Amino acid sequence: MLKQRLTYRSLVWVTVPEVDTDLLWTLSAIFVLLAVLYLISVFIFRNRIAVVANRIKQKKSELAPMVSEFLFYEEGGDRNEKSNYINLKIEIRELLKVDFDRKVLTEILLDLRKDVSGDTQRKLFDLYQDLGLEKDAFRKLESWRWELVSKGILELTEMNVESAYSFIIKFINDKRSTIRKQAEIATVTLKPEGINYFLDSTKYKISEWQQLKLLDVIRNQENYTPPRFKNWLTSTNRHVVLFALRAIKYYHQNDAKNALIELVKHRNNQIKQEAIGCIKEFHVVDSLPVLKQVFWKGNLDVKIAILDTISELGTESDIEFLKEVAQNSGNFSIKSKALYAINVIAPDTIMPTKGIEDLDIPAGFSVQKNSISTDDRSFKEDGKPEQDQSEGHTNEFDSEDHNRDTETLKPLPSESQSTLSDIADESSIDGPADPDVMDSDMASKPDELDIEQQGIGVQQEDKVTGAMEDVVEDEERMVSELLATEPSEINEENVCNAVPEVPEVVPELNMAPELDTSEENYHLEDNSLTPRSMEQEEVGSEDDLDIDTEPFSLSVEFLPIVTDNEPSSTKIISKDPSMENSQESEKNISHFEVEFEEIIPENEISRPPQKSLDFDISEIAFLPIVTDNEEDKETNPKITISGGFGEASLDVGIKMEEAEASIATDGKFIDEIEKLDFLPLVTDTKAEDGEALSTDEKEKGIDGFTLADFEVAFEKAKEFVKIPKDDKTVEEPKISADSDINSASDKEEDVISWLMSVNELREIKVVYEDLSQDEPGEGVIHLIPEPVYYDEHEHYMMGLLDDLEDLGDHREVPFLKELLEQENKAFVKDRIQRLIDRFTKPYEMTGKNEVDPPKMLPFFSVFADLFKNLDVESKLILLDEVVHVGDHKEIEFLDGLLEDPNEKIRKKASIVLKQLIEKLSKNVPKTIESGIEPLGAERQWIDISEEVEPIDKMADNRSYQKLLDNMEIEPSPKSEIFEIDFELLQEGEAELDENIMNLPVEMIVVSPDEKNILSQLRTFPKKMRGK
Amino acid sequence: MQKKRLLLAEDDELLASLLNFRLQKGGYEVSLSADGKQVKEYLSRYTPDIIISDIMMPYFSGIELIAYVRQELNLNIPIIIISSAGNEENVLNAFELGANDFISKPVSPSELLVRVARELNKT
Repeated sequence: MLKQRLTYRSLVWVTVPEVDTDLLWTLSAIFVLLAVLYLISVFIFRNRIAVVANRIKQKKSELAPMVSEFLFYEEGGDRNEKSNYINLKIEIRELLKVDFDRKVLTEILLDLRKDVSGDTQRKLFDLYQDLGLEKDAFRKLESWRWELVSKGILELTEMNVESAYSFIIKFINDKRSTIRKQAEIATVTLKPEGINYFLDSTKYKISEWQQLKLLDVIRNQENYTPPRFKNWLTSTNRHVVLFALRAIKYYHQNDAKNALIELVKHRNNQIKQEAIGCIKEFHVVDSLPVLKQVFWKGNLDVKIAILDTISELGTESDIEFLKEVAQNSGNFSIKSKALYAINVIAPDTIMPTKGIEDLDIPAGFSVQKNSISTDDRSFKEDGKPEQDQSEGHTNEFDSEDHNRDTETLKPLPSESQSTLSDIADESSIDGPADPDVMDSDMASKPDELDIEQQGIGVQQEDKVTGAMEDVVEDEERMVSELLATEPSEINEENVCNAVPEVPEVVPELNMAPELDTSEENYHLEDNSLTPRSMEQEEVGSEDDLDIDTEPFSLSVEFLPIVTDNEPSSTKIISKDPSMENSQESEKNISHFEVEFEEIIPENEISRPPQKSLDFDISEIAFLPIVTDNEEDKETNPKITISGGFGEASLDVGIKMEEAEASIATDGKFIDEIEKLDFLPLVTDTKAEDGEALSTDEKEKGIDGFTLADFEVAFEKAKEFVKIPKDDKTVEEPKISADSDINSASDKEEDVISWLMSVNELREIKVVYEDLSQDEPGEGVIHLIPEPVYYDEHEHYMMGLLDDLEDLGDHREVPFLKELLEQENKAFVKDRIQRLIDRFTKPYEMTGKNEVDPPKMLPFFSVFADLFKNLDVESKLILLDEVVHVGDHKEIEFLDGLLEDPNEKIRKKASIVLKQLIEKLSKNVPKTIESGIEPLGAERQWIDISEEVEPIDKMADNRSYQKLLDNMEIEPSPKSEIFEIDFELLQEGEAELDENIMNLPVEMIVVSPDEKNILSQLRTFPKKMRGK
Repeated sequence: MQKKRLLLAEDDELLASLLNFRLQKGGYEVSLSADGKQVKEYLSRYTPDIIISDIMMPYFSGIELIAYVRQELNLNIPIIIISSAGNEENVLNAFELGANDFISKPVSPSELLVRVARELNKT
């Protein structure tokens, strides 16, 4: 304290805060503590982060092989591999229960996704979804935190979860830009139609970067067919329009010509520019007037873009506009571009003047010492002089603050072919820049040359004052300096700017008495077309006069060689076969030369192409059966059939023989024929009738045959013409072919026509033989059975016999015999007899084989129930077990799985089914050998019919009584208990029931104590009442 | 039949693990090296039948590895380079120095296996 006081006293003038040092110490301590806490917390957090990172790293290294195992697992692997795989699956399922592990696994898959491609990447996507990791990502989408949502979208996009599409598209118009952008990318990535949805629905700005990313996404999609982006040129979102324009340009969709022209008029300069870019790309020549119209309203970039486009698409007619632009525009870039465009459209119009030395000009060339470089180039518009001498100083140049009116005007006879004399540098001559060009120009335009020479003549007569020379020299110097500083810019603007002093001389120049207005030489002053004064030309130098006398003796090596390779400079430069070409191509389509090859049939039109007999007989069930009885089989008979689809010819040929052979050997064909019993049997009786075929017919073989040539017989006509009432059988109608068609009656014709129409055999001529020549009028009426009326007994009997016929077997024979004895009616007896025959014959002949086999009940597979509530992985695992523990019951179950919606299960089921069948087929012989009755599909069912013999009840009773006697047992009094009808169950059925009974049933015993309160309360009043 | 020895130099652990598994499954004896130092160390002891190396590796790049193998060790074993897209200059350098083949990331393991087999068949 003393020290403090001393201190204060010694330093009185210092105002020390009166703070207690204890407080200071306390504060210091707090700060130190806070610092320590801060450091400790940093240390802790850092350590924690490091620990977590290490843990993740360890986990990754632990899980990576597992992932590899999953990715490269092959189903055809050995048993160990499979068991490893299953164990891994179980293990990974356990791991997935832990959030951390799931997160690490997701990270691994996301990392690997970037490093692998092809089939492995596809498997990776599948694995991600199989493990259910996408659920976490879906959960993230529901978060309120933008970064989590964005992360979720990214994850789903990277892992190509298509099912997330419908969830993600909701974020396209999200207020949060990060989410929105992520959703846009995801929408376009996940589904090809995503781009359509995005462009249709987005309301927000699409940044340039985002547009690039989107284009990149759709560009990298495999088998991607881009939509027609012109559909979005009408979008109200200008960013969408911009994107669509870029996409149109990228995908060369040149079908939006009119829309592009309209968009040139868009308010937005960016859209304008893009549209102009598209126009240039697709060579939309129609847009030129609009481009010119829009030019003056556009900004610098638009103007340059338009000029660039005009240079590509323009023709000579556009040069006028370009000149106007060059004259009127004050911007250097625009002027430069306009001149460039002129030169592109009409090459050699503008010649270089920069750094051109002052050389001797040969005779016949004007020397324009005082002319001003490139800008001195003059243009003649419509062949008229732009300005006369008096207007020379009031050109547009003045209006553009370039006060330079140095020259008087001379009209140019030709506008596009500015001759070399037009190109003047102050320090140089306007001599021939290129002799080649010059030659060509002169050769092509001798008149111009003459005019020039005249001009030169005038120049020679004029003299320039010394003062003028001085001025011009100054001007030269300044321009040359300027050009030296900007060598790349040969521009009139700079040049003009550099010569402000010139106007002082103008009056003198303009007042020059001699003026050659016929001179074609013009020079451009700041893009204005100003005629050059004679004086100025004279200013060239006196030396020029000398030069004129030396024709073409100049050394012009320093000049660039300009060659005109094109035969016509006015030709439109068309680089791209785009719209114009597309139009042309459309025209050309109609001009394709298509060569029609005339196909001349070998034979007549009626002769159809031959067709082999490689067909299933059942497919032509509608056809009559045609058999060829001709002995001579060498000829290949053909049956010509005319159907609705034209004619077809069946080349029976040799195959007919084969078919017959097969009929002989194999009853199969016969069976098939029997199925066609409704059809008439057509046989060829020609050979039998001994009718010789005509030579023509022989030549044409079977082609000349019609059904009329064959005998048609109704094989089973008996059945349907039988009239039971009269107990008579009508004679089988034998219909044989006859060539006389007219012999058939009208009714028969109807039947035939019906038959033909039904069978689509309109052109088959089938002629039926008259059944009774004596009664031609009856026709087939007698074939229609008359109605039969039963009395009560007959009705009962027929009903009974119907039932017996349907349900009975050989056991009904004794009963039927009884009925036969009792029955009086002949037709009933006949029916009974037929039934007896039917029941006895097959039994006698084939014994038990004819008895219907017992119907098998469907097998019950224990796996079916297990499968109901399992996921795919577990099902696959379970299927592996089917092979080991399954039997015949699983075959049907596996068969059903072959139609499972999941492809993996289908494949697996197919494999397992094969293996199981193999296993069962191997097991069967063993069991037979070992004397054990095989189970399953191969099981021999108990034939009830065999075992159930007519029981001799008396004998049975006798033996039973004998047995009781032997055993000394008294029979119990008759009791109803034993009068039970036992049903014989099939063995399989019994076993089935047994299986069902043996199924484990989980029994839940609910003890009274465990009852819930509600039930106890409910039962309480009852208990009370009971008490 | 003795398995072919393969040196896989890749610093990305996950990718290395994946390729290792695939190559082992393809019937190769694979040695993994995470950086240039390990590669050098391995090569000082063993001579593999083929080397698969990433271009970008710590300590010792893939280019340097090729130069080391071809010029210092004078080994003519096939070298396949793995490089990310857009690294064409390095790839050209690698070929100039004697790399036999090149595969770009993302890698298709099946493709890599085919390329390895092809290079080994050449030798």
